[in-house]
Amino acid sequence: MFACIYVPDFAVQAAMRNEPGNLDKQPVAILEGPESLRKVVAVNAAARLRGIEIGMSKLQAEVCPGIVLRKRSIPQEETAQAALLDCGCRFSPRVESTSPGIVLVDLSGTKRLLGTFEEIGCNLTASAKNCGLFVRIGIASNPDTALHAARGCGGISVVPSGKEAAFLSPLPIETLQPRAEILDLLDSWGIRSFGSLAALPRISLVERLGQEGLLLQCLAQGEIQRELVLTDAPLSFEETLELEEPLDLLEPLAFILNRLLEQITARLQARALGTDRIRVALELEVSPDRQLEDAGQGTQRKLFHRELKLPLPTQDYKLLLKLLQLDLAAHPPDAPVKKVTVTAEPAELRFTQSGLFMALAPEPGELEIALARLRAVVGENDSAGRPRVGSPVVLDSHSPDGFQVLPFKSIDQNSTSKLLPPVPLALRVFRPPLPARVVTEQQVPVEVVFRGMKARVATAAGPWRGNGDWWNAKTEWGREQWELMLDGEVISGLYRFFREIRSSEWFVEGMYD
Amino acid sequence: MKYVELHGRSAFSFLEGASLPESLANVCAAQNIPAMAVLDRNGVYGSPRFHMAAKKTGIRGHIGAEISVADDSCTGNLPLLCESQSGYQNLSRLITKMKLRVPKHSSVAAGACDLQEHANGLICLTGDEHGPLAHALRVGGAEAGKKLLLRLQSIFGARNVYVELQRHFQRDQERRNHAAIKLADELNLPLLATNGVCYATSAEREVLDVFTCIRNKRKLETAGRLLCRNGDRFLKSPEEMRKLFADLPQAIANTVELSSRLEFSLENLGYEFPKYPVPDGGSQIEYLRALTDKGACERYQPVSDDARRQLKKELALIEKLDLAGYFLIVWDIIRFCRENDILVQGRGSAANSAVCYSLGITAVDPVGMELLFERFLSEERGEWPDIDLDLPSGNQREKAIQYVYKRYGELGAAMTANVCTYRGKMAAREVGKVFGFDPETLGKLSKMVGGWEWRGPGDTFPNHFRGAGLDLNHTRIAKYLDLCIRLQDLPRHLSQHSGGMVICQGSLNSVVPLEPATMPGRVVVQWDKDDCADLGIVKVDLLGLGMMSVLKDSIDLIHEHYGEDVDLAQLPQDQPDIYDVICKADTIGMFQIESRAQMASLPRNNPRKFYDLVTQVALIRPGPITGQMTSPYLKRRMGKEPVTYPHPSLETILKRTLGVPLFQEQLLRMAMECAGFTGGEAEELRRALGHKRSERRMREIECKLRVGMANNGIFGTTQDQIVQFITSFAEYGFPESHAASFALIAYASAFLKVRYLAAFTAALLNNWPMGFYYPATIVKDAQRHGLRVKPIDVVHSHWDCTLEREQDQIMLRMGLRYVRGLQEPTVDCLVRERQSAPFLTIEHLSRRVPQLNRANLAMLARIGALNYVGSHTKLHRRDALWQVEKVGRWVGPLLEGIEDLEGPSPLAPMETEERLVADYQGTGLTTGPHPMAYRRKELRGMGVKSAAELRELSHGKKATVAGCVITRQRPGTAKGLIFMTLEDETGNSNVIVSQDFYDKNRMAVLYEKFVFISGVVQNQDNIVHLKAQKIGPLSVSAAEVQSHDFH
Repeated sequence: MFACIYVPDFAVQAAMRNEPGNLDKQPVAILEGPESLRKVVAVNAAARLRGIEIGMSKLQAEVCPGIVLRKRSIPQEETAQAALLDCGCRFSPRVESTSPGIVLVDLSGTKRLLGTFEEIGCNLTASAKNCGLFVRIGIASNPDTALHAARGCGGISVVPSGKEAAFLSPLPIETLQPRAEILDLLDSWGIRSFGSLAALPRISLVERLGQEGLLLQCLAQGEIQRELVLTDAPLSFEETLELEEPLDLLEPLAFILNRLLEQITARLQARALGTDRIRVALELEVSPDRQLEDAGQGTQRKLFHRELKLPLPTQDYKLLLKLLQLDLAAHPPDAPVKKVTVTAEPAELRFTQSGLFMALAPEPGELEIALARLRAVVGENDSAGRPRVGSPVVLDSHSPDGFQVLPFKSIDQNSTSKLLPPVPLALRVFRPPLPARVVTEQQVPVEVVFRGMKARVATAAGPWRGNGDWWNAKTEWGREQWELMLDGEVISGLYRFFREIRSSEWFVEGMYD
Repeated sequence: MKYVELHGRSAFSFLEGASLPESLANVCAAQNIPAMAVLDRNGVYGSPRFHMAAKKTGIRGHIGAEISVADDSCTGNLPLLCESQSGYQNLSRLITKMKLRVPKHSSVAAGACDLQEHANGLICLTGDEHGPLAHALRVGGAEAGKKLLLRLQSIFGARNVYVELQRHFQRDQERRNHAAIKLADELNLPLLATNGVCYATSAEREVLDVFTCIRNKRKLETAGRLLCRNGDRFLKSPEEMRKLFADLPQAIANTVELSSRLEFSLENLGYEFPKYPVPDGGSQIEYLRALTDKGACERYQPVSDDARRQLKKELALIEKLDLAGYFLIVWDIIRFCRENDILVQGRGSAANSAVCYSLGITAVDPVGMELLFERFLSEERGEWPDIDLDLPSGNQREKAIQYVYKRYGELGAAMTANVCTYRGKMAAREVGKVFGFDPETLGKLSKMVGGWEWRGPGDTFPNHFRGAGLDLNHTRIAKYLDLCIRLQDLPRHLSQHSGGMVICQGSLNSVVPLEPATMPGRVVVQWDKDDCADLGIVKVDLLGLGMMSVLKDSIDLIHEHYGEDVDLAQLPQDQPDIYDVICKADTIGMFQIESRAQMASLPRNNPRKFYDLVTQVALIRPGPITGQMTSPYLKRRMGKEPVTYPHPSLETILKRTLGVPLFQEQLLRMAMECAGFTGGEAEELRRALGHKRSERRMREIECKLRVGMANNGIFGTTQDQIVQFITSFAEYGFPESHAASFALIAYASAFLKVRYLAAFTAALLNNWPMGFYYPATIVKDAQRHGLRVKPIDVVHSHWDCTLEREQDQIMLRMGLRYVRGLQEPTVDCLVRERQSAPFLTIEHLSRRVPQLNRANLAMLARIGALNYVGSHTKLHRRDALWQVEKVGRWVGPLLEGIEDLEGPSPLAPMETEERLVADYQGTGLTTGPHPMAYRRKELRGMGVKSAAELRELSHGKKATVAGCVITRQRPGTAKGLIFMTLEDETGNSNVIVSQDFYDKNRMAVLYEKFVFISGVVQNQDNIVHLKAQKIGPLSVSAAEVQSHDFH
């Protein structure tokens, strides 16, 4: 026998299960999409009753009094699915994670251990409730019948063995979830329940709907026997070490990290996996002042997190250790460490073969170390939020100095890199631009002061006016640029200045070589 | 120092300019710019409007165009200015040549040899960053630039090339300017400062950016450097331009010098209407006289003195204005139609002319009806008369159009254009795409936008946005909304006007550029009909009128099935039974008198003779309604109000309409009589009050009227009342002649419907879409009048609805044209096969008509059209569906050919509701009982009255009716009231929904298909309405019944 645990309105339940208070009577809608255009992607029964439909915009959903709106969170749904799997695993080791919100459990041989099927159903419901999920249970001699019973009926449904067809017969055909085209065809035939589909002559049906029709009919008759696609317990690679004495130096911490990483990579190797993401959680003795968050309820524990992302999965613990050392050197914890937890995300290893005529790119591990070193020196992001380390790419925009920084990649021989047009003069750009004071006469600069130095303008060319992104208040820009030949005691030469149109402030953008 | 802007683009460069010509002219005037040249891309689309606006604002409007050139020696957009009439003619011919060389929507470009051929009278500038000089400098540097300038000099002449400089604060542009100045110096060419204007004011740069995205199918975020670098291409004041070119004062001075050289203006277009080739070489007027005399004798039998006098007067004026050719050409089209059995009738003011009546152009006798000739033609007006011809829409109209093309040559006749402008829906959709909104939201939004003819204070763009779920507090959404509003009325593209044709003596392509239309064999001018009229180009409107096709088809069907010949010209006009039906407002399907408003006034007006019908047609128009003339007229008709006249002098004018002015002519005559206007002045007055009314002109006219009346001793309230009559309606009313022409068609349609219901209904259904009602309503109405309508059946049906005779009864068979998804060629094939041998099984049908795909077969099975395939037993719809599914799937070579031993289908027959749903889904109608009929018993139990019962209720009673909503209308003249029509098996009930009630029950009023409505009965003068007080959805059927909503 098989049990199906089915979570109706899964996205809603997943989003709400950790929220305090009893919200199951309240209308809830889950939203997804860009900020300016959030749309309802899931609702609960209470919301449905009040006319909230999938596809409505946030503004339309807000019209419903008392509506609770939440943003969709895939991690929460994954955690909820994992919790559902945990529920199943409590009753049988043979569990299938069928789809989000549906878990099938093989109950063979558990009757003596767990009681009658009704009792199992009750226990499953209670167990799911403890995880914050309200479920429907279907129990039947085959997985699909159990699934349809759970999806089509409320509460706990136990389908007597041998009576599957009769049990399923009144269920609406939509419960089978056939393709829209087939559903439309069956509707035109007047086939609206499992029973009426089951009653059609099989050969004639196959002549018309092919194997798909046959499968649907067998499902409607509750005849399909299949093996579950068993789900292993989630792969978790986490190692923790609680320290007797808090550590306040990085060097001894490196020893501990070394040990933990050695164990983790050994486990990864055993499963022929690598990792491309390592998380370190350090529990600190006292509250430091940055990058901290309250991890527990009512406790005074403070955690310090770091995370490393690698371009390729690896099993090389020495590499991982080196990267962690560099990272911690750049971002040291502000207090002694009491507990260390290292979590590795498993990933399939990838093997690449270099071409015979391809230029030798740096070995990915070494490259990553070099980049980490650079990051440790120059920092992670600039003031505009762009990464400081990577490959700059010029944006297709009139916006001056418009560029973005993409993760560094070794040159691909096949890619056609766009060459910038040759420039007669090279401009050294000050990033960020230097604030300046500019004296103008008839709107033409005549004297400039910056970095505490003063210079007369010998010649001025400009203004070169540009503005854009008027549709976006955050990125809207407007500048007037000038080329100024300065003739001062300390500073002289050709400079590029600009005036921000909105603030009327002057800056030195760069100097020409 | 003065400055003239000589390089500007208007929004008529279609997505490459952001301001209307009028805005450009206004800003020029405000900035003290004495003249401007609008150079639209590859056309002179915006020139007439710019010319008119410039005239109004007192600036000079220069004409020219930016011509795309692609040649080895010259590539880019070359600005050309017209110096003289020959220059304009050359430009027009050049554009026509470029455009007609390639199909519509293809990119066009001229070659250097084209320029060479048409260079005379044109002055060339070197263009902006997309101009040929910039291109040459970019590609080959100074050397190439020099070569280009020499080439342009050799084409246009040494004096006619100006090196153009623009300054938009851009480095590369300034670099180019330096090179250009050097070259100009070297070749001794004049410099010319322009601003390459793309919009009137700086703020409109955003509109241009949106247009750029629409043109390139990009979003704002991804358009990158396609967008403007800054917003400096606006109309700058002479001071600003002088400051910008302080180092080159001669570049500014040259603009004034060049402007003075440009003598050409659109006043001097050189248009001439073609001369009619008179047989035997006589004069046109003599020939016209002869034709008129002959026609008058046939028409009047005998010609009365009045008629003779009128004809003499008209012919004298026609001779004086040299218009004989025009009348002969229209007569020639009429003659062609008659000879080819094409129904044709003139409408509009032409029916005021006895000459038109005698020539057979119109069917209304203006002498008998005392119509005002000045409304049609006057000496003072100085414009061409306007003759509109109604033809059956479709092939027959096309035949007439092709005849005109053939007669006057490809370059001698063309259709007028129709400028499609951005309106609510299109703006919301296209701007939304540019802003990156998803299609679903845009779909929802464009559904909300549009709205009714009447717009309440709440029917604004912001409210529609909120309705579609957009948050206006979000800056991005606010910007989106702002741009949607700013895009309103800007041109989007050019299409072809439905019937307006212009004809020219000689080559039309020297008068206005021509371009190909999407329809093969059609050529379109670059101006719309108003522009053509403004510039004095005569046009003939060959309009397609659906009802003319219905009349024609009905006559053919009557001939075939009733064995009778009906001559529309000889219809007896005094048949009481026809007027009885009209008086009862039983007018569904009849021309002009079938709308809700018409029906609501018919019992009051009680038309008993033809002229009553003429007033009826004119009565329900915005002019009489808003001028509050409808109600007094109807009261006087019913004897509830005495007939009085605002002034005794108006009695003769208003006597026929019981003292209430209903027609345009009456208004003109009132002005002539009371205020001493001449005929031409009166016509001027009508135009001033036309659809482009301006406050200032209104005040001037009113002043003139009052002075005139005061001179005639009319003062006080009488004066006020007359002024109110005249100013409130004017253009929004029909001319009497036009109403009479329409009344003729209305009467004919009523006559055919009453006498030959089957033929008329079949013709109506075959020519749909037209009129006020969906086919479902037309069919139900015909059934209520006793017509048997048989369902679609592949064994009997044709593409069109046809008539069948069974035991002396004529029945209507629905045509396969009503099956959703079925194409006419497929049906033609089916009918051909059926005629060769009957279909034995569905499989047999499928094999013989392979064009029928599985979806077609399934649809035919669903609507029951396959029930009679194979003669032995009648199938039910699901039997057919079961078979269709098998037929549609090939079994493979192994099983093919094996005899099918399958028994009957295991499927249950469809239930009534399922059949209804299938009928409406597949054909939009049902020939079976009305959906409401199945629920009548139940409804009666709920106290719901049928439409027939509602008509019997007395005024003030409370009642509940129910039905499917077939129309929703919110007329502009009804102060926000909504009129709903509910249909049930006994007829239609009329419901009035107040604005307050609508605001509270918006969803039910707008979207429910079946409703019940409770309210108070208003039963006055045999007109019954229910004033809604409660509305609710009714669960009758899931059938997709449609409502004709006037959105």
